[in-house]
Amino acid sequence: MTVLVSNSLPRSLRRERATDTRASSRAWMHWAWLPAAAALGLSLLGIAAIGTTEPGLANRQFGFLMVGLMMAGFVGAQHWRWMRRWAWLLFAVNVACLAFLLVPFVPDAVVRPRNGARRWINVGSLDFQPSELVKLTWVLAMAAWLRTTATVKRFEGVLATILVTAVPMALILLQPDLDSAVLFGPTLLVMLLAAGARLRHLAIVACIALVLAPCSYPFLQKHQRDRIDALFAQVMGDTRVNDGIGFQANRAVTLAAAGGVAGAGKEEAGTLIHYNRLPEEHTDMIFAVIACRWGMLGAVAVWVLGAAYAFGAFMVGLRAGTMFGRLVAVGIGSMVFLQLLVNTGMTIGLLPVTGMTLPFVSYGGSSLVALWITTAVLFSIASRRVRGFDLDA
Amino acid sequence: MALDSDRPSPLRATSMFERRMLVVGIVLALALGAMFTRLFTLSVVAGGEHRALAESRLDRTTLLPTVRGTITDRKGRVLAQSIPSYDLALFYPAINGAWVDARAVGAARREAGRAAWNKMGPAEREARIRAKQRELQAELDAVLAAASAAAELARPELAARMGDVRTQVERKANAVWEARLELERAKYGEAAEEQFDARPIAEQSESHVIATQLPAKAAFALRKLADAHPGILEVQDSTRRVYPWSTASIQLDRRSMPRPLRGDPLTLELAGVADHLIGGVREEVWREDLDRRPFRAVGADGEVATDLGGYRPGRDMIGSRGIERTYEDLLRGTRGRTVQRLDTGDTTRAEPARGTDIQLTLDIALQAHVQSLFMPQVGLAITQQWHHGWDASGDPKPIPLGYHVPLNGAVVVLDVDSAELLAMVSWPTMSAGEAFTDAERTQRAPAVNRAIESALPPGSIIKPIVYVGAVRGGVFGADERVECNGHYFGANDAFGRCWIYRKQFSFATHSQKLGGALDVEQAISRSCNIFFYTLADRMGIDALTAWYRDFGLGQRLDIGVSRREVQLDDAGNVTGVRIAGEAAGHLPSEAEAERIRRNGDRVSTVISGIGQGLITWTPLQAANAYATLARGGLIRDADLLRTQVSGRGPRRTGNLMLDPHACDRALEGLRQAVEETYGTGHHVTYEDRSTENIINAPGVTVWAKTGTAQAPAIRVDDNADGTPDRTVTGLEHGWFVGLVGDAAQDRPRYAIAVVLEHGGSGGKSAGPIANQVIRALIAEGYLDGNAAARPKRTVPTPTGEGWVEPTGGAG
Repeated sequence: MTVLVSNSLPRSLRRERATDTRASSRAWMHWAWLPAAAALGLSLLGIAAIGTTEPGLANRQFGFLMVGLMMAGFVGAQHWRWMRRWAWLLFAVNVACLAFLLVPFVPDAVVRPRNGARRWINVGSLDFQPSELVKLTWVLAMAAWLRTTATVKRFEGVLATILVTAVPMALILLQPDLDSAVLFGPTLLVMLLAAGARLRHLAIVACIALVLAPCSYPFLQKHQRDRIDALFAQVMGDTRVNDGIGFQANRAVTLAAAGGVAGAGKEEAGTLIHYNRLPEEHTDMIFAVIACRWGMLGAVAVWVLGAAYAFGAFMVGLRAGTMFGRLVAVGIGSMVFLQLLVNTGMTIGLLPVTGMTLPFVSYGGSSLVALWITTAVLFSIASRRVRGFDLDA
Repeated sequence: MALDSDRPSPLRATSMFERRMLVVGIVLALALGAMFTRLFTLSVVAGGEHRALAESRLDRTTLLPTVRGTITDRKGRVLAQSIPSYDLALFYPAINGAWVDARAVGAARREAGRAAWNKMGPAEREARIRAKQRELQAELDAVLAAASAAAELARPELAARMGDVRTQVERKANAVWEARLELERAKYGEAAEEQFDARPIAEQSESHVIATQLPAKAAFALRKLADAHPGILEVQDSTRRVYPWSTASIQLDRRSMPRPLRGDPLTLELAGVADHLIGGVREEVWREDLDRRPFRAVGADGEVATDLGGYRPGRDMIGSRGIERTYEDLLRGTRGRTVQRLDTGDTTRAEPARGTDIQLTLDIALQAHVQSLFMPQVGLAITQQWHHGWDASGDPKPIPLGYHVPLNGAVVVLDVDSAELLAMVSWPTMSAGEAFTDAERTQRAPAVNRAIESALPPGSIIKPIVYVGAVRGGVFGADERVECNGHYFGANDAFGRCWIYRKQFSFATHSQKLGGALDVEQAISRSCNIFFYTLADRMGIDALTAWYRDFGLGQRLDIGVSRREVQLDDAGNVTGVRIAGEAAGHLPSEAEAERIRRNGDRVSTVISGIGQGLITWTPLQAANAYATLARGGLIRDADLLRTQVSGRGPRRTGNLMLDPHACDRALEGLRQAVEETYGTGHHVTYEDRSTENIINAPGVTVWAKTGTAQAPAIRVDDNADGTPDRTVTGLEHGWFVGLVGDAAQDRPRYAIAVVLEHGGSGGKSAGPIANQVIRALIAEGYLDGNAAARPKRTVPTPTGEGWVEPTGGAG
């Protein structure tokens, strides 16, 4: 069945009826099973890794996994058109939540500060972290915006997307949270690439970004600057940082390497991690725990699963019949994979230590649930396919 | 407005998308590849090292204290020993107060509860933390007060010691950081200063010993305190040093003493037997110890090296004087270590390596006996009238220092064959000196070991050595004779006189008394000066000086107490090496001898022959020289140690090849000096003109020389106000040096040197002491003392030629 394209009005202005299901059908064999399986694998691996040193938290993580799967089941059953329709609204609400975190007069009962950072909103018995969901809603919003070539082919359009992206980035940076903020840039780049932006424009933007990035250095907070310094130093073989700001990184590297090829086993790894005082061993540094307990094989398993997730997401994007679906899939895949890369890179000493967690693996309810919802979106896109290709859908 | 031409066809779009995603995929794959490479390098290539490093953090190391070696005498009697004890150590955070801060935050948080704590703003947290700090400070103070009470240490003293440790540790930390900063400056340039991270040094988290030698009861109480308040203090197993001979009791038989001193057996309590030699230990660790042998040292390459025997700030057991100090590195041993694996609790223990035991050649019982002779109650070492005598009309001759004034002195007893030192007493001992006032201490210097550190003019003691030297040098015949006409130069010349050529002796001369020229036996026994002026003049100053040097004068004999002291200026550069602990004495130097030769100064030359002038020696050198003479010239310098120790330089060897006939004649002269009535060392005369033999020990033969050496004037502080009040002149040191052996064997077995500073006549003042020393040797079994076995002696007559025209008078 061909799709009629009308030239009378820009597509984006045409109202589409929610019940218009002519153009899509439900499928059960699709690529999104691969990311789902990878996500499940990573989640279980994470529970096992957390259990090395904190069995209680492992149980809680299992509970979060259950919640995440339930939420994912719910979201995955929805049609992605709803998401496209409400993308901007969801994005705006999410940004408002981020802004809300920064409002100084909010009582601590609502915004619970932790370790000097204001990242969580207390909703009942759970802490809800807006910055996790904003990654998803931003991808959706960007995908909804960039699905027409109008924006993406023009340089002004590219700049406009950058400006819009800067809003949540800035709000996150002010939390303060360097880590999540850096994911937006590369993901936006990939999405622009996928949407068909001209390479010229992207090259210009990339050059400007490369020039500007070191200029932002003085604006960073001290501990963020220290970490970048420590990384440079470590890579250059300067051992002075090992006991100071580089302490966290160095212990992680030592423990990760101590696992050898096949790992040290549960008991030994638990002991080593405890007495070597690895900080954040169930959140940021969980990869070191995996490498210590299961060795290089375990670490490679994480990478393989992550690559499977990304590959699956890209394949979903390839097979998606709509630009929206393609962009969402590509955005999700690259964002999750990038986060995985950055976290593992920082654990083994290739990148500055940031507070970025390992997706699906690190302990954290809101992060796990948000990621499973993200995976469910992929599922939704993949399972409701459009026959042929509708660029504007 | 979108244009149709902007819209690519679906097929092309797909391939563009595919192309681009492929590129993105490749980039991501490359990133993944880089990560994999890095992890491979870490895990597979360097995995073992990292594993070892991670596992090393599972160990907790504690140190066990060293066990110091024992010092014993020749018969194995213990002179210094370490016995188990307890030390109190404080952790450094408790010393500098960081303990309070470290606990305050956690305690405040625990008290508030996690939920409430997370809600609190910084101001309220601060307030709670401060309140906790006050609480914890009070707790710390209470614990320290309890600790000082249990350890019987005054609170201010404890605070002072804590301050010392803190200073030392901070000094060390600064030094370590300086050194690291230097290294980093060299490696990374000037920017290293801003980036320098002053990491805390190990000493800033360890425990430091604050009080030592605690009894078990105190240790028990402190252990309970430590368990109740973790992290502040701990009790360590340790040792303390005991000196069994630091006090001794002796019953002195006075029957053989000079008549005025005789009496019932006298019980004496001795303090500090051989304490000059054994020395002592101190508790405080000094800066020089930490510099010389630190426990942790940062090497030139930045590596930290641990020396298990090294010193750490706080309190320890370090030799401060004597053998304890000289052989500190040997005696100390090394610490042990326990390494506890934190997860399993398995402990491996490396025991401390015991320090080397050192055995001395001293006989401590003999030493105690000899030391007791100097005690003021005995009367041998205080000025007596019979030291100085009475004049012709029966009036007492003046005693320059006054009557019954305590004197300083020294005794050295040496075994001739083995050259082992059997006794070496210096008076006053350090323990005796503790009872002195400050003025007395300045005057009498109890810290000086007079046997080896006090160099005095030998006086007549040197004469037999001059004789054998002259014979050896071929300038004098063994049987030659010399005329004594009382003066060597002009009759009215003040210099070069014989000691009896004086108004009080009516200007007698020896040739007059003996009716002719003297041979060596007569010259020695009567101590004729002219004889020896002659010999010295013939030898010349250079040959004489060289001969003295061969006999061990003018150099350290290195008996084993010498200590190499490296002298540093303020910057730490070496400016010199001083060998402390033995005096070398003095002989005319090259320059001095040159001046004597150039000026044609024969006075200096000849008086060198009677042990005056530019010559000084110690009692040790005296005994050693006489032992060499007894051995016929075989050089075997005195030795204090029986244990082989490294670091002692090569000792002198050789044989002076003395003419045996000359040796015999010299020894015969010495024997006559003591055993014949005309000998200068034969008798003491009392007020009623009765006499007593100086040497009255049965069954022994004594070959000895008396000596009365002129001493420089001294300034005396009478009223102990710190300023000298009068100058005393006319002082003389009294020497009695000789050899003793069993009468049956008729060969010298032991050399004894006795000196009584400012004692006056050698025979009268030092002689009775020497007699008691011989009796002590008999009592301790070194001599038989059997009177019946004494052989008859004949005075040998001169044979052959040797008559020498007296040369005194000729220029």
